[in-house]
Amino acid sequence: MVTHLRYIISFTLCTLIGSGLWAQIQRPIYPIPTITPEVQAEIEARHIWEPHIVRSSEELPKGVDNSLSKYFPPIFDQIGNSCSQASSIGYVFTYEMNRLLDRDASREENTFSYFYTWNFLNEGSGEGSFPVSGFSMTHINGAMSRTDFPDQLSSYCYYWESGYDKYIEAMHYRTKETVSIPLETQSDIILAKQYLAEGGCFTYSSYSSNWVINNHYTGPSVTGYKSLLTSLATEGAHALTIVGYDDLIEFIPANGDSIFYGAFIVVNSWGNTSHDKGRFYLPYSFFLQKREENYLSTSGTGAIVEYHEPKIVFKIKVTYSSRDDLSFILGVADKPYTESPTLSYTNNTMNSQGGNHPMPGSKTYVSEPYSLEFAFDFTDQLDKFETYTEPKYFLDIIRRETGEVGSGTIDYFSVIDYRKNPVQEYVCTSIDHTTLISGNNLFSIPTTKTRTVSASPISWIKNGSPSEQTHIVRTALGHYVKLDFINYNSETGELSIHYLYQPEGKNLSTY
Amino acid sequence: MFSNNLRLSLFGLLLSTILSSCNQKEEIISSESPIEKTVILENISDSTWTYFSFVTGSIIGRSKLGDATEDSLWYNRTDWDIALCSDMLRTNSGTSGVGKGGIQTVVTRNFEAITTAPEEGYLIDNNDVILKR
Repeated sequence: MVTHLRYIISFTLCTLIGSGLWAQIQRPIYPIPTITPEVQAEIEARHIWEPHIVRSSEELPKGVDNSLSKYFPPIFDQIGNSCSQASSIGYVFTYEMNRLLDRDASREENTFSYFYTWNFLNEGSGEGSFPVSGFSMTHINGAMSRTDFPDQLSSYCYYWESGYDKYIEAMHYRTKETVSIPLETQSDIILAKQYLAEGGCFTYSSYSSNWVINNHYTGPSVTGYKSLLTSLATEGAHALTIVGYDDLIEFIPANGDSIFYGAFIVVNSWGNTSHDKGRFYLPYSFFLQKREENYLSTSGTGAIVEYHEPKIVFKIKVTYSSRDDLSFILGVADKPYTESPTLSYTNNTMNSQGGNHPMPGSKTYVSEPYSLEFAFDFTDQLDKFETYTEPKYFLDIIRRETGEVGSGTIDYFSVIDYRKNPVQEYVCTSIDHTTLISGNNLFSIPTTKTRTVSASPISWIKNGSPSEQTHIVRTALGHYVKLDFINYNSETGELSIHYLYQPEGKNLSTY
Repeated sequence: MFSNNLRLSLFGLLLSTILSSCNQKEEIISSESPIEKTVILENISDSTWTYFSFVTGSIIGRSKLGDATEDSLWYNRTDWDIALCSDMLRTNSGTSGVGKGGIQTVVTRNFEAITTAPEEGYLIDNNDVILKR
């Protein structure tokens, strides 16, 4: 009896795994993340992709499958609610970067870690995110390879990698811009096919928890997969990747008698055993139906990537116990005597992110000291301050009291100028495990020495206007003067002064 | 005749000398009186020191900012009281001059109310003023 039961269980498991249903059944149902104003801005920042030459459907190949390219990474099984970053960074970004650099994605160092972006975006509690947020993050600070950021075995590590070398390497690989691939009309479908035929792939979103996929499709095809989505899901947010299309696929809806031709090829991030080698067909016809965005997105998102040479980099080391307290503002001003930046921006990485965990990750997985050495790329600001002859760099660490209030120190801050030969590192010498206080913690690094001159400690002008104070001056011969600076015209250099000079004694009465 | 003429001439010369001395005496008395005036200093710039004397009420001269040789020459002079360049001020004191200069401020502008120069509290020049340009 027991043996018989074991046989039934084993048979059932094998059937489920074999059919790919196991992976689907095991998947938790995730809610749709909240679209914040920042995410909305990232979505709107996409521009609609336009080909150099618009091709008709007849001019395009009948089938394209970019997932078979050497540029496309091996299918993987995402951990936790990381699908958006798995699709955007793990697949699309990795593929596009390898396509740009003609690299083989089967090598680990040529694939990019979706944990790198996801752990900045998941609130330190495994929350979902949006593909545009990952692309936006890599637009500024690049993407870290899986060699530098090895895959986590648990979604609860919430690691932030430590090490300047890892961050500077990541900065080379950036999203230059994101493109929107509309998916609502027949002409949209043709345009999307052209995008794929020209070698691109893109991410899209849909519900996924109870979709129906026929894993025994035997109809005509160019590309030969056996899995065909036949009914959209009704809950469970998910992000997936469209890597190709096949115009020969035939799809007959369960409640219809019409045949719809053609389908996109979707790569999922549920492992190589899901669907057919991790892939399934998504009929074009679903995109032509009126629907809510959550069921099936009305556009996809592609990435145009670039290999970037960082020129100005902030190197920082912080030891802190609750990282979502902190955000980092990078700035610069001209001249060594300036006291605040004239140009600054808040980095979109480590911007009150990562939950109530120590800087390197969950306390379960990291040990004290909770130190993190990292870097921010300031190069994009260079065109705004390249005329500064004596730049002075500023780092303002804002410490808020968010959730579990942390404590800690800044241990190191420098700015590295890669334009110099040899490379020049300017180190902030006023830092010595300096405690981060609530509010602003401003640190600065002049790149030139402050010049001094022999003069009075008193200035005669403040903020462009003559001093509002009356001065009492002792002259060269020891006599006394009371003196007002009245009017000053900085354009003509004319200054009016009013004074009373007393050549004898200290009487300064006005007569 | 000659003698009378000579006596007359000598008396005239003496009188002239006495009168002349009186004029000088009057000028000296005048210069020791307090002087209150408004002066417009022209061409105050960010790159040149403009030296001014309260006694003469005029600009004494100028020197290039950062020119150590000229600074040294002006250091040894006592015919200037203050100098201006950019937002900076010099008094003929400390590291800027061998004079007895110095300066202090009253919290708010109140020219009329100041009737006596304080005994102490004058700041003298030093080499540590940051050049903001």
